[in-house]
Amino acid sequence: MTDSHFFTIHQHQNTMVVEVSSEVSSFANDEVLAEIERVIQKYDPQAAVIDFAHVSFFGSSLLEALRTLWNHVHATGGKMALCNITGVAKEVITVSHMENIWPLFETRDAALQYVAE
Amino acid sequence: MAVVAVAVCAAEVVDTWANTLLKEAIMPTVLVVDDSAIDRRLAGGLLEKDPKLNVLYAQDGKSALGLMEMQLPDVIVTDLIMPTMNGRELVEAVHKQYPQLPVIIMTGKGSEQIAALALKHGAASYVPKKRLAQDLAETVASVLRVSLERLSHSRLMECVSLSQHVFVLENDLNLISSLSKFLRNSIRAMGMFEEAEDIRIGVAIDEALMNAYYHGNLEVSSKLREHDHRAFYETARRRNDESPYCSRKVHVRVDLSNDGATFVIRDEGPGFDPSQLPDPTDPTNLDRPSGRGVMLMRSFMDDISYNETGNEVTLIKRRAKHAAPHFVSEANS
Repeated sequence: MTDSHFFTIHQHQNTMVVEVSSEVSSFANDEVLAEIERVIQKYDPQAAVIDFAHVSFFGSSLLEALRTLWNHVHATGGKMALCNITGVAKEVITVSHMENIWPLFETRDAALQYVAE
Repeated sequence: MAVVAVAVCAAEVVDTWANTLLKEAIMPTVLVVDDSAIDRRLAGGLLEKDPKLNVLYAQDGKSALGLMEMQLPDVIVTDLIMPTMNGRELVEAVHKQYPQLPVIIMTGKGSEQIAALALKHGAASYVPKKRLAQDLAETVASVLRVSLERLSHSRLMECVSLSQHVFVLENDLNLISSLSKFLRNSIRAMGMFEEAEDIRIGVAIDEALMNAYYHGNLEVSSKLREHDHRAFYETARRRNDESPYCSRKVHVRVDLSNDGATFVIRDEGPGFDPSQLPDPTDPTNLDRPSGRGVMLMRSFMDDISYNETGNEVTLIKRRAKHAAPHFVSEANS
């Protein structure tokens, strides 16, 4: 497990699990991007699950960071999924239709199963 | 610069609230939670020495939550290591269900890390078990004092019927971030909307402020971010020190009333044509960064509109007609 300011990273076989560990301020745009880039460089993920259990909302800055991660995962032919996402955080994903490329799952296990298939 | 005008409701309403507070302050209730009967009695005994305190007991977090459904205490004092539901889990549950209710944790040797986590998750204070006799009563008194002050402030803010603010800020991200927090807190304190609505408004305001900062005053285009987001932020950092960008301001006008909330955010850039923004929900645009901020603003507010130049956005959130103003319901309570 690796801790950083915004994310806690776990490796689950070939999948990287990214726990969003604190509310990501919209004003932390470049910090959150820099952090996701460090994560990508360190783990070179082939598949990713993003766990939102600890956050209730976020804005476009985290969406942008997730898009960066997805571009990397997608380029390797892998999948990315989101889990434990509720409330306004879920609304941010659904109003932007991002669930069409990052499916939502109620549990981490279900998301892990999807990206492993 | 900030100009603030606030009108509050009738003094008699504040008197009603003050009386309630006074009653609560006369006999506050402390809930002591510990699975050890000896420790429970020790902590409770120290608190019962104060005749102004009413002390209740529970043997673990789950029993405490059950008890609280029948009688809500004014403060909780809890052990950390307990079966069924430990102190840290209790802190999290209380913070979620009763965010105003303070929790003090009693820490034993070896539980410092869990205590640090509990404080991170919302515990108000802690007392080492070996110092209960010296510190517990004083800590409870101090936490109760702060809690009552916070409660009185919160109830006073619910009496505000009109609040207007005008800010003229330098194009400084720290200042803008502080303004965002201030606005979120003001909306929440006035109790105008449900919690989820407060969050949606906060997200929309943040997006509008970010647009004013990056795209308005610094004129950094989203298209740059599509190709190279590092270049986007490097350009922003550079322009922060360059003329004419560095002297531009963000103007914010806020009206909070019983009808709802209106935010007018203007930058000093050349403006843009919002109709030219790509539709971020179009499947062909899903992996592009442009337009998401405006899309969130449109989704989370009742109405957003731009001026002709495109450098001023007005965001409106209306209060539901059936939602009675808080100050009326408080007066009748």
